[in-house]
Amino acid sequence: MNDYVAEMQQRSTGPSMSSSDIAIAIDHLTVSYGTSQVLNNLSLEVPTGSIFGFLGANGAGKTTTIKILLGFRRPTSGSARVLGYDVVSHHQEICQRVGYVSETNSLYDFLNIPQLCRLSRDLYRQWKQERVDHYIRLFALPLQKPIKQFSKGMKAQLALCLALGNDPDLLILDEPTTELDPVARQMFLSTLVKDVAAEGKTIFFSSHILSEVEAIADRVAVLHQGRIVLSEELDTLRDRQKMLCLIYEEQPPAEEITVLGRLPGVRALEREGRAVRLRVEGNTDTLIETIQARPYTLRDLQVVAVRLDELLLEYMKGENA
Amino acid sequence: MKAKELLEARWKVITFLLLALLGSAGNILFSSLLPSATDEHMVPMFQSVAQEPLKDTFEALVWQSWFMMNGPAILGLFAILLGSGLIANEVNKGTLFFLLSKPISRDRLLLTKYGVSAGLLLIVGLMSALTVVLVCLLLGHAQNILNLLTATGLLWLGTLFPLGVSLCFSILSPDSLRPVIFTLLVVLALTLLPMSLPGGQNWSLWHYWGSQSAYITGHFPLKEYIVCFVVAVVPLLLALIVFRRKAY
Repeated sequence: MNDYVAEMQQRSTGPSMSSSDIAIAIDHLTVSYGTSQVLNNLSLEVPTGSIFGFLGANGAGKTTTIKILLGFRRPTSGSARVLGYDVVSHHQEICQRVGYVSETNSLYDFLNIPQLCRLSRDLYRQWKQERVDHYIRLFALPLQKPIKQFSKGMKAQLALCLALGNDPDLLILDEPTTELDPVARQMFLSTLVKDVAAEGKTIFFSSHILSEVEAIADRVAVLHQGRIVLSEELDTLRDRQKMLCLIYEEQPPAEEITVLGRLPGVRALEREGRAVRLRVEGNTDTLIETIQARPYTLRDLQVVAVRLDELLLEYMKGENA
Repeated sequence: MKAKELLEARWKVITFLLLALLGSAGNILFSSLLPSATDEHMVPMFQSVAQEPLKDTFEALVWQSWFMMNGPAILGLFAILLGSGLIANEVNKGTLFFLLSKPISRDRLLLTKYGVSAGLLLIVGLMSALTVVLVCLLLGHAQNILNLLTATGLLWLGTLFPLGVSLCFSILSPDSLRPVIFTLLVVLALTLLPMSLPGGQNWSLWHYWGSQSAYITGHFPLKEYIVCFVVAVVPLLLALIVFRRKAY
């Protein structure tokens, strides 16, 4: 990534210097299809070198955001910069430095791998065939078969190989593993983490598969109905909320449950017999002291980590928006 | 990218090449066995297209068979089918995103596709002209090669109009069938409708796609070339503007 920064600094007509540590900067972006507003005043920053999971339910606006970033369509208002370049005026500069894998693995199915590589090489100013060959060998993809005979997993793997051919600084993946089986998905993701991210490249991937975001992302943003409802480092998110598991000597009355639910920092409450689970945010020590001072005796109290997928799912549903 | 375009269009090319070869050779062979084609044998609508009454010569027969009737019809339809899929097919299959995510301008993308299609039309046109030469030689009537090439060039330039129109519709339409239908309607409106009007033959595109006098007398049909060129450029420019602004 240092090369990228140095190169950026050498560009006299290039982007502003302050943008070099931000791979993607979206500022108050609004996109409308006719009268329907798909993205609503969306602002987001993706740090250089991060693996950024872009989560959202179907129709939340993930693909539209990616289309804006790649210049497939123009924003209704607001702006976006990719690797420091404005998405409207510098489409070619962006595409030269970005690898893209689309949702549908948009490959020409009548071509075979060498033909697709030739086509890609013709379209880029720089192309590293040896790099593509390395990944093709890694995935053991058949060279002479037409793409139409490939499985979905193989197509996704090939799309990734080709997206890496121009040695991109930023990889944008639009739900790349949606149609893959668990084995193919695991192979795809491990390549991303072990090979691509290890080189310091930025990976921005949209998904609605919570487990894969949790497995590889170090930052996450959640989109709900065209708005960003969460943008956070995963570790921070993990630390932000805790689960207090309380087990009472006797089943607490309904009034006590109501009181617990209203304590400061309590975000959610579940009750099952004598067990009460509180999802809390902020300082747990104070809250524990408050609970222990209550007139109902606790047999056990444990502080455990919140399941990230549950938390993200709430954001995706817009419950924490 | 040119190789990809050629591979993608291979079945259309093969089909229309066969049709064009049949249309150029078969009709001349068949017509040569019949009594000479004269004005009286023509459909009244097409009599108005001929710039001057058909002479009872073999050259006139060749011109009528290929450059006036079969050539514009076959190559025109070929152009429409080529143009209709150029963008719409890419959108349908999702492969347009593969191209749009590459560091090339939309203008270059469109012009490459258009250029390959125009090249294919020229190749099929030239192959047909070659067939005409060979068939005429077989029948003992050597044709003037320069006149044949001039007429082929004019026919090719004429087919760029339906190519451009169908390309325009291909950008605007979500599928590749609508561009075919809309282009056929536009082309038929601009070729056949004026012929049905009194004195309207000079406003028909068909009138400019072939020049009988140029083929027979050998003079260069400059006016026809200019008209066909201008008419070809307009939809192409329109397609470039529309494609530049189109959101995907």
